[in-house]
Amino acid sequence: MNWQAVADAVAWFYLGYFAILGVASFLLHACSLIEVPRQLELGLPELLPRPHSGYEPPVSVIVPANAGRSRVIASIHALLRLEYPEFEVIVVNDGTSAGTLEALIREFSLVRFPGADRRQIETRHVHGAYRSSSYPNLRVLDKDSGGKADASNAGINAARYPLVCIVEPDSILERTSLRRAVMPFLSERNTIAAGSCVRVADGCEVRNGFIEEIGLPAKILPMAQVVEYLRSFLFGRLGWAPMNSVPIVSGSFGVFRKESIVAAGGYRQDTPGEDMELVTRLHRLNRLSERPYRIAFLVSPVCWKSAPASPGVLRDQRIRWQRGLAESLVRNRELLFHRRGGAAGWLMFPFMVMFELLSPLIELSGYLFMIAGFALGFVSAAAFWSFLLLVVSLGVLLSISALLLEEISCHNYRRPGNLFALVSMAIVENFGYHQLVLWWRLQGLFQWATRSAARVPRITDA
Amino acid sequence: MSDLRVAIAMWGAYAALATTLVLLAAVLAMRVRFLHRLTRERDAATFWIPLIARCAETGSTTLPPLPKKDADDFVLLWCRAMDPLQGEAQDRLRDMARHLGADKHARRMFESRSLRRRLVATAALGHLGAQDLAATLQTEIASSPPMPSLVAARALIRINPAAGVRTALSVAARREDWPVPSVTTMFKECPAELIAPALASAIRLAISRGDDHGVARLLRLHVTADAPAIRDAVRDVLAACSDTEVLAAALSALSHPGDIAHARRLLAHPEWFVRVAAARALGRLGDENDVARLTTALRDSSWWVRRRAAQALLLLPGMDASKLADIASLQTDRYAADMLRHTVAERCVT
Repeated sequence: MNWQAVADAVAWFYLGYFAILGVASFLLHACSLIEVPRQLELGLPELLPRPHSGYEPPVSVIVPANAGRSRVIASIHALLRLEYPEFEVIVVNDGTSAGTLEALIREFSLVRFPGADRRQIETRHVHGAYRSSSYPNLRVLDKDSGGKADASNAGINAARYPLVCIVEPDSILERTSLRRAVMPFLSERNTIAAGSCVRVADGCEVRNGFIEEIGLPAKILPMAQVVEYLRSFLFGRLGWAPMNSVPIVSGSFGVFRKESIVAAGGYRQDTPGEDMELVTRLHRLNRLSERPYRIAFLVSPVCWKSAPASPGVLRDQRIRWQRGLAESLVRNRELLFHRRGGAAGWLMFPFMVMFELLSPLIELSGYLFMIAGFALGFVSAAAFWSFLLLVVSLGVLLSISALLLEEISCHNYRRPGNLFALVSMAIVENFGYHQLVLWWRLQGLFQWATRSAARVPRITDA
Repeated sequence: MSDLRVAIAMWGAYAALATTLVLLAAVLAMRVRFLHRLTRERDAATFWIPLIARCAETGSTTLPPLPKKDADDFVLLWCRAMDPLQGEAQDRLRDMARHLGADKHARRMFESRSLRRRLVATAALGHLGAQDLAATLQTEIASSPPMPSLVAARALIRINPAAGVRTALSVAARREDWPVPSVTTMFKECPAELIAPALASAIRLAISRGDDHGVARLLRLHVTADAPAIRDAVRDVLAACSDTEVLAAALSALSHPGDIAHARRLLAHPEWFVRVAAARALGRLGDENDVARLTTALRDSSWWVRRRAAQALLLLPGMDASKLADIASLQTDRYAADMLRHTVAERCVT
């Protein structure tokens, strides 16, 4: 066998991969640039009367509570102060620590309540329903522990209103979050789901459960995630919106039309990435049955979350995300290149497979190949360095273009020095952090491929 | 590796770096522009808001000239001040705008290519009653994207309420991209006596065209009109249309106890959401004769019909918790009893 020929072919493969990645990213960026002005146009409501006419659809806000009692209670207090004409908050007590239900009963004057909910989605046993005598729009369900997906499904069963908003207890919202998130449902009646950018709350000033002033974290890991989130949301999700192919609505905050989520069977309980799996399934079911639908994505952030600050927690999160991604794509593989799949099946799905699912394998093996080739002498120094330069410069380009989208759309980071810090991190994260995350994602891919039984703990999501 | 691949990789990397530098320069330029705009807007607001407030209150303030750099911001601040005001205060602010030459500036903004400037100008010229723009606005209402067309409709209604309402209603019947809440809010700003006849004739026109979807959209605007004034139109719809979406919308618009027969008849409709609307109508307009009907509806196969029937029973005259408890105890259907108990408990808690 001619080893040099094999090495040449492999080198062409990696070069081709990064070239296609560059072109695809450029096109996604262009799509984001189309979407941002459209959304900014919707954001000029000061010229029109506020649409608080009673026709704004009421919303059931569902909180699958699996966090500690103090966090859940603080979150409920903040949710009850949201600015929205009509909404209810349904807290699903799902295997929280002992005493959480009693604390909720005391804090919100809950009383036991006869239930008459439809069980449209199968869930673990619900022991009882409670209603607050202090806050008429607050209900609590107490059920057997079944995980976030099961708790969300129980909340959906109990929801009274046509729109359901799934919120994790550690999500920090803005007072107007719900009003903004409902806008896509008002402007287009085929909208079945709306997600939004999620931002890192570390470094922000939070008062009474709401963001008061936006800032950047001081620690390096959360700071790297700020840039990563900008890239992931403003680029990797917003860019798909004009093609109606948004790949994921974050589990931290998402608004859905209840009847669509019920018709799809609710959240799957046997996948670690239930939020992405649901959205991919909605694409598959609606595209294949040729039902008109729209999954919207909002450029302005309506939800903020603390980012993992320790490498161990971040590692577990990325492993779980990668496993969730793999499960979502494999379970909905019928969408891939289906004749009725449209942009979701012919563009988004292959992109997710090539540049999200397989990227840890391809990129890391590319690094290893170049390093080994350089060491063994079949890759020249010029080829080695030009490959590294290409990879790093593409990474920096993607981060800076996300910063540009942020600057066009939101101007969130306004403190002096914020822009310099973001640009610096957009460069620095390509030297070490990016590769480390790739390694963790590769572990996730391996665990999924080998169906590793090791349970990865659930932590903060985006 | 061949020189070709090295060259491709190098040139690819150079292209990425060059693009990065261009984007970085764009980011910096936009940040500088943004900070400059923030400062300008803040300064304009600090200076002009107190003057606008004094003018609206007394009208006798000595006004400085309007600098060109403040003109755009002033027009926006002025529009925002106009919205909640009525009567003489609005007249005084109109005088202020004309005195400062803001009306002429708004006309220049109206010709701008910037959407934001055009929208602000449209709103301002609507407040100023620019009659000569009526024809242009009518074209915008029919053909522009949703946001500019709604702003144009609102401006036209201010310039010529009768013509504006007629145009906006005819467009609202066919424009799917006009959110009903926005249209509702816009019409709520108009006198109800102006809306009702226009809405009634628009509904009849849509019926005569066989435009069921338009009829349903128009019926959803019923809250903007005086209920008795559109009663005949709603009855015409119920007599002439069989489309389920239209029937449900018409039941929601039923407002007179004399029309209760329609709700009673449609409580047995095969489509569940028509039965839901009928149950709600019976809750609003029904009497003790409807107890048996609604009790039967408690056993409906649709959860929403059961829910609305239980709520309607609670609203009927002479109903109280003990009577409902009696009805619940007589139910042989578990779902009916559960729903009734749940709804009664809900009412007791709230």
